[in-house]
Amino acid sequence: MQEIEKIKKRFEDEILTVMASEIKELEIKYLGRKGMIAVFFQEIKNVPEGKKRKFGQDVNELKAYIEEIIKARLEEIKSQENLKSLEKDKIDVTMTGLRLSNGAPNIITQTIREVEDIFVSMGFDVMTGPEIESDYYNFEALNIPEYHPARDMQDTFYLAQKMLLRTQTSPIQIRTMETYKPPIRMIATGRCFRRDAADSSHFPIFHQIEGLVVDKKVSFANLKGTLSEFAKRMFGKNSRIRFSPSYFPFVEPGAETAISCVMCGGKGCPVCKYSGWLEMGGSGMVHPNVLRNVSIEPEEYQGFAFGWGIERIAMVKYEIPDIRMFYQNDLRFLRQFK
Amino acid sequence: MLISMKLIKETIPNNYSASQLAEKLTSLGIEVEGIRKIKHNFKHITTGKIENIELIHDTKLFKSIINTGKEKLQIITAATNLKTGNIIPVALPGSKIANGTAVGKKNFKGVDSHGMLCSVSELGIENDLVSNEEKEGIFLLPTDTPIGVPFENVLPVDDELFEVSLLPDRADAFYLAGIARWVEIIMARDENRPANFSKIGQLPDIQAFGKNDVEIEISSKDMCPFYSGRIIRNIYVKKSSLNLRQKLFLLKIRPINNIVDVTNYIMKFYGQPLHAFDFDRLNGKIIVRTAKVGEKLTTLDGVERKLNNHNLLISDDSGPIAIAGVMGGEETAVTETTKNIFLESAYFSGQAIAKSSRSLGLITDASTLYEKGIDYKFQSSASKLAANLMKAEANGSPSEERTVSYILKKQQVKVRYDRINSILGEEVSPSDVKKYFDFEGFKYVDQGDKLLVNAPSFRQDINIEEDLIEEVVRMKGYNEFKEKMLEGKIKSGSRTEFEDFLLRLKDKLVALGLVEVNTVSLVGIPLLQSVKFSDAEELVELVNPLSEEMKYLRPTLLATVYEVLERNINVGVEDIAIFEIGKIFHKTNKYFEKTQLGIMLHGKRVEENGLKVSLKYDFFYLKGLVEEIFEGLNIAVNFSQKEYPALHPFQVEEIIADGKEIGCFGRLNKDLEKNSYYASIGVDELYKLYVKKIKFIPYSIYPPVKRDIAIVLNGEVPEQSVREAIFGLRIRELKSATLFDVYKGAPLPNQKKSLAYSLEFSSFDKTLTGEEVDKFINEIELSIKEKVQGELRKK
Ligand SMILES: [Zn+2]
Repeated sequence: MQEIEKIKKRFEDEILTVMASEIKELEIKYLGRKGMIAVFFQEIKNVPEGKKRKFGQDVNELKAYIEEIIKARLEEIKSQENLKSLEKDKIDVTMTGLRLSNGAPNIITQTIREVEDIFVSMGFDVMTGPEIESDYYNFEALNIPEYHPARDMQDTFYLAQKMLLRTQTSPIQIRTMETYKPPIRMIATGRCFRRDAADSSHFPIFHQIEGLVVDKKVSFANLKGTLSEFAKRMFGKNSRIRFSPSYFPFVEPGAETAISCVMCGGKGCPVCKYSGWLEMGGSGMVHPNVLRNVSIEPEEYQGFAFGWGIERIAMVKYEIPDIRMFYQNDLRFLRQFK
Repeated sequence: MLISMKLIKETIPNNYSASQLAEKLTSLGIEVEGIRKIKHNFKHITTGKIENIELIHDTKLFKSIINTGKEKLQIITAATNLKTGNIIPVALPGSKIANGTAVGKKNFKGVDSHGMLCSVSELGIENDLVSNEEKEGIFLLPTDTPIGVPFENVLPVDDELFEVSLLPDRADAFYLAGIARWVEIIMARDENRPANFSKIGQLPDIQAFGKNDVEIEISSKDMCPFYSGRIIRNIYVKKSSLNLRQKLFLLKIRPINNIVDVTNYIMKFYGQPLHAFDFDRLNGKIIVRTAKVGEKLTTLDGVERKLNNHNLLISDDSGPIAIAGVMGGEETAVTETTKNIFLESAYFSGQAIAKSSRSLGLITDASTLYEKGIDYKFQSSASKLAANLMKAEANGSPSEERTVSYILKKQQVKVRYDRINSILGEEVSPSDVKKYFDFEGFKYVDQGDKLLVNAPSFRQDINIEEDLIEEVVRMKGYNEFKEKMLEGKIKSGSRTEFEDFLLRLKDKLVALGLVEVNTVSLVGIPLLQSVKFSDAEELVELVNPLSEEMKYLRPTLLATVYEVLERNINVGVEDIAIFEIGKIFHKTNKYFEKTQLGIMLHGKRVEENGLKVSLKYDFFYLKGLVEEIFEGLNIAVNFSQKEYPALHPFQVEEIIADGKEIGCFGRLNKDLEKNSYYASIGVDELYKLYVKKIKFIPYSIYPPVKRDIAIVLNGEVPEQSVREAIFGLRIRELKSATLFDVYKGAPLPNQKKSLAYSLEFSSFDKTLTGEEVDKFINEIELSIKEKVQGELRKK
């Protein structure tokens, strides 16, 4: 009995001190055919009859115990060996990742897309038109005849043959109303040209978003509701809009539209010149002359229209200080908008 | 436009502060962009009269005795424009002039000087508010200026000036009385009462002396619906009185002489341009007509002008005497010696004057006012006001007025209550509508469901019902209306297919690692030449470009995309992969705009790094991009040889789809940025060819069999021919042939190369056996031998 305990104790000491390479030896020493356990089994016959059973049990337990420990040790050694064999694959995982330089859509494309998505979800169709326009579509049909004082508001690049570079996306209103019958809900986005010298807020080339709704009962309240909803979705749900008197010959009543300053929320800051508001563009109720020009009866149909600057929207939304940056195409600028 | 708060308060007394008024005006559509406060910083400057003045012997100085009302001062001056009797500003000892210099007692060569006589600049007065001769020497004040009064009471320097920016339809506010009327509207609204404009410009009673037998004939009635003429006899042309001078000062008018000053005053204050002719230089009757070709007139400014049939003229029996509403003629102008004048007060149509003044490139204060649209009922009043002033200023005797009128009675404008509600989307009560019109001084007749409105004659902006609805909005307040969402049948919106296509194409290009640029559409010849642009098609030229660099609409994206490349390289960006999709333009008998795609590559896609992995942009990277684009759009693409001026002659290919050239790509030619690659593709053509629908193509469930082969052949044979020789067999089981090695050199003979391909075979029906694949390889071997004279080496 004591022998068994002694052997167990001895095994426990040995297993802790033995080198990995000696485990097999140890296994033979205890569990081998001539090992210590085998010796115990041989001794069973010498044990007195009354204790034989108990002795047998104890030897079996010891055998199972030793087997288990050796198995565990062997597995541990194996996994250490595996690890060692992988060490040749060791890398400095703290190095930075390998990256392909990525593409990025232009900030103007992104802004147009975002604006279009909002209006498309409100049931507006997106229309397009040419950049080279006739005087008729850009001015005449929009109630701006030749020598109209409003022509001075938009310095125009002219081509030969009474053609010009469109100064606004509004000609697309006319093209749309010539093609489709009311009800009309449309927006148009695109490049416009004005003969302005470049400064931080002007550039001879810019983009506009134009909106037009014509139906039987479309009202000024709908214009306010639509632009207000757009502002909330574009600039955040606390955004508000403000209308102020303005003049565009193709709308009456006409209004300038501003949004609450995105920087200060309307309290006043340097960005909004302490007014709390940022002017975004014009809007108003479609002038009856414009409807008549496209053979829509103003007594039957009425509508609203608006035109905002895309660069202006992006400048406000992304805090871009200078409109010229859109056209410098510095990759350090463009890559920021992914 | 600068508007004097002082003059506004004088015209319409009110208790608003300048900033309150500015805010209220802005909210009504008269935008006040800023307020300039002007405060003089001189002290103890008074008016004095020169009692005596004499040259001090042996000097260039004068000794003057000045009567300041309280005392007589001896003051030494170097000014040479003085004589006894002049009234001048005197800085008393202990005073300060405008620039802050203190004035005291001085001694010049033994003669005491007690104070200083002041020039315009020493008083801090802007040069353009005084006449030319007043700029020199001591400021000579009008002869009726009282002695011994503080200078700031003589010319009211202290003021607050509104910087007003007006919308084009605010013709009624381009002059002081107009702004004053809006102040009256503000007061009426705040006090909830009708506006009363009669306090602005009370008309004088004048006695007419003498006949007016000048005949007036109008032959262009639509251009000149009203003409008024009045003779003012026995005038003295001289400096204006202090009273008028003070008004000119506040209206920022430079004084000239009493007659011109009066006409300028009426124009700037009341908005009615007037013209004074020297009556003695007129010959016969006054005729208002358009100019005939060949007629000429030398205008007041001394320029001889060739007239054209857009010019409306005032002429007499001997020819043109004025360009109506623009500028008078020199011949009949008022001079120092003029004794009798003929005063014109006319209503010319805005469009006629706009055409006339623009056809001459001559824009004047008068033409600007006419162009915007003046008060069509004010001509006689203006004539009366001017005559009265000329009587006071120049001692003249006004004759009776003679007028010719073709003014049509202005129609009343109807506004229906239900129309107001329908347009605004909100109920505005009839009593509110009437109240708003009262605030603006409109007269109306109530017809139950609508109003018939007579707007004042200066309101040229009220012509249709919608104009009146705008006034309802203006008076109620633009932000006092509710917001409502659109109603009606909900239908889904969409982009046009082309727009959708463009977005899809852009997404694809971005996914391929390209950054989208957005360049200007206007270019100059030097830029086009720098990218070797030479195309038969005619450029689209601007008539009025901003500069030579922006004179043409771009005929290609290459030029401006190349500029972006250079600019980025210059600022130290080394790796550039960009694209633009934009319009290009050309001209035949009409204008064309097309959409083009330009791609530019330079540098590498993966940074040099410790991992020794790098990916440089080169010809095949770009070719791969092009192939990806076409594959993404399901368009079959081919390439063939062609040369382009901008591209390297040995690293270039033409892109062909649907049997037509659709673009090209290659390395930039020498003299352009090195190691840069450009592709140009017609987007309109892509759109026509692209197949939106994608259909599932089944693939084999049996394992593929791979075989590597090498083909030895003449080094000049294009690889494309080898591929064609292999795929030309149309072996259904051949799924791919991947070129994995190109080799030249020993042990191959000179001029030979070896192309190694990995071929993949599979069948839909079964696993292919070795023998079957051998059969295919044999077929390929034969084809290679026959088509490209190549020799197959099998493993
Ligand atoms: Zn702010």
